[in-house]
Amino acid sequence: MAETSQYLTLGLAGETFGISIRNVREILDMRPISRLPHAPHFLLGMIDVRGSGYPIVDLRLKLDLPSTAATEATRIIILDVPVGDRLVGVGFVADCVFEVTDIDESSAEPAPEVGGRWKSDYIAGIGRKGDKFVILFDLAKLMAHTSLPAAAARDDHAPAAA
Amino acid sequence: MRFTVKAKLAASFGAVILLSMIAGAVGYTKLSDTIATTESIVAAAGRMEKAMELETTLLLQVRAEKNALLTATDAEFDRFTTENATLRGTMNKVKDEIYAGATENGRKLLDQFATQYAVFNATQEETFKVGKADRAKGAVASMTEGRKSVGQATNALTDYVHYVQGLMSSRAEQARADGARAQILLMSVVGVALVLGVAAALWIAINVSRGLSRAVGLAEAVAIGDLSQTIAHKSNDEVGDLITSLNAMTSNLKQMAHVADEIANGNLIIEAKRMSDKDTLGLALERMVSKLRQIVSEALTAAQNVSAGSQELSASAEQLSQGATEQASSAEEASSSMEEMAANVKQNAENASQTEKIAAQSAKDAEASGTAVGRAVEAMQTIAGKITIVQEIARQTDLLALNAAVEAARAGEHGKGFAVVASEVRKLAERSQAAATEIGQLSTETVKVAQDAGAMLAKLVPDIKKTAELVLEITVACREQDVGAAQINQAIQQLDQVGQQNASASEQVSATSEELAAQADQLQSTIAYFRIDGRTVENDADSSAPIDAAVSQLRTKAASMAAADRGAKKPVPGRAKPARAVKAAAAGGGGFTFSLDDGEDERDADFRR
Repeated sequence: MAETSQYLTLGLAGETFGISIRNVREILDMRPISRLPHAPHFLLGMIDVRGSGYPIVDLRLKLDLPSTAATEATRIIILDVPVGDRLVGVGFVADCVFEVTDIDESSAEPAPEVGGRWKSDYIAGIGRKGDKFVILFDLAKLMAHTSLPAAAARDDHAPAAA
Repeated sequence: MRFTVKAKLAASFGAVILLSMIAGAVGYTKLSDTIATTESIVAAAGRMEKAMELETTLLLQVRAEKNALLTATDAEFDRFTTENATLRGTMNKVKDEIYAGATENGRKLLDQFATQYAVFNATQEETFKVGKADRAKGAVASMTEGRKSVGQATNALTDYVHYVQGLMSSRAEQARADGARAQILLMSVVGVALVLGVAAALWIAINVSRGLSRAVGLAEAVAIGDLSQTIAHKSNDEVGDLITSLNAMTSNLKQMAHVADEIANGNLIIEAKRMSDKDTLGLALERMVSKLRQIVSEALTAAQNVSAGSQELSASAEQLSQGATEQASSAEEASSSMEEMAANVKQNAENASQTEKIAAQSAKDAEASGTAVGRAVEAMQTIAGKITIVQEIARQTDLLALNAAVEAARAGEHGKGFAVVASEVRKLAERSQAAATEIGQLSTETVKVAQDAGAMLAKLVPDIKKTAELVLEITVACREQDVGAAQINQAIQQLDQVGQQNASASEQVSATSEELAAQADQLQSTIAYFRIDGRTVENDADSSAPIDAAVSQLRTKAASMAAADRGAKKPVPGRAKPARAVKAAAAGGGGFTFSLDDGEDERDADFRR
């Protein structure tokens, strides 16, 4: 039982990614996003969910994939991203969300080594679901170099602290 | 020598004219004599008158002498002597005049008187000479010598006068005698001429009239066609010539009559010879013979042609018979076909009218269907609208189920049952979404299909209406066809009647052919009367046989035709009764041409789309 853990699978540019269910707070439909001036290009803006504001990150842009227009399947996933020693609520825009599924972590492979260094530190591992690969995010590393607005972090802190 | 009428007339008239000339000459000479005698008498009378004048002048001379002697003065004396001289001159002049016209004896007597007168004159001169001087003496001389010479002179003159008187009377006597002689001569000559003329005229007239009357008798006989007479006439004159010519004419006419007789007897071999180029009768006979020959030969050829024609007629009658039989059977077939066709046409008409009703109903139904489809389309569109709501609900349910699963997973061991429920809900949501999507697609498709159906129905309605119109036209056409079929039936009846007429005509043809053959036979036997080129027209035996054969053939054909026609006729009346009634109604309308081959008219074009 300890070997398997539950992941939320999501589709992004045809590939399947997995996020540990422990980090997932809520899944939302795509909604209007308030833009932020001087934000990095992957930071789309802020949304309000039941009185709390969340920054929204476009995963595609974050992973240096081409941006696409939103569809009916487009979802915003509110995640608890560990920043330092705290958890910050961040909205990730994904192409679609598949399901909550069990993935055998023991059988997960590390990111392949090809000799040189490449930007693969956000990959916690590559699991399998049937005959398809599921790329598992390491959210802490993914968001490591991201300087999020302090307000967001603070807002996130407050409920966490409470 | 010919003693013609002309010569006779010339001779008799010549004799009469000669005698007349003689009489004229006699008369003329006698008249001339009489005129001469009369003239001499007149001259004697003139002379006698002059002698009387001489006597008077002599007396005047005596008176002048006496008067001179009785005068008192010389002047008067001289006047009387002068007068006397004047008288003397007159005397001499008259005496000379008498002398000029006097006869021999008269001149002698005048010479005596001249002598006596010269004596008187001399005496008178003497007297005057004396008397001038002495009147008394002169008177004495005058009374003596003068008286004596005067007496002598007067006597001489009286002698002459007497002589002249005697001469005159003798001449008159002679003239009377001459006249009487001439009268007798003239009378006798005229009488002879009269007798001669009358005799010659009678002779000539009797001769000519007798000859002419005989010629006239002959001519009259010829005129009434009697050519048997001839006249014997011996006279060698014009009348004789006339009679000879008439005889020649009669004989020529007899010859012509003989030729005509021969032609009448059918002998066309005879040669009609013309007497001259102006021989009208001869020319006519020649032409008649040649024409008759030509006509007879042509008639012969015609008779042979008639024979050949009869055979051809027989063949034609056979063909006609076959044709009539075929026509009868064909008419029967056509009639039955027409009946079937009429039944079909009526069926067609009924079907067409039913189709028309159905088509009208279909048009209405199609319109109703159109509106129904429109309503269905609206309903489908409503469904599609509603389905999107369902889809939205399913999606949101799916999202909720996903969140529930997330919450369940976060709950860990406690959330496991809830996770199952969430997953089931999610499955349901996915199924309902799929179903809604399917329904949405289906409804969209249905809307499209229904719209298509609506459009098709909308297109269908005018087509159906057009169909109804066309079917109506078909009905009308069927009705016309029905009428046409009736007319065709009528035409067939007429055809049948024509066939019957043909049959009766062929019977007539056969009868006519028979008659024709008989006529040709008769014609040939009639023509046989004539003979051409030494042979009688004898091929009647050759030609009558084929004619008879043709006639018998024709007869059999006609009989067979009549039989065939009767056989063919029988079914017709029963079949054709209604059409007969129609025909009677449309009597004299005649048939009509009914083309069934490639006939496409303008109405046919309407039956196309």
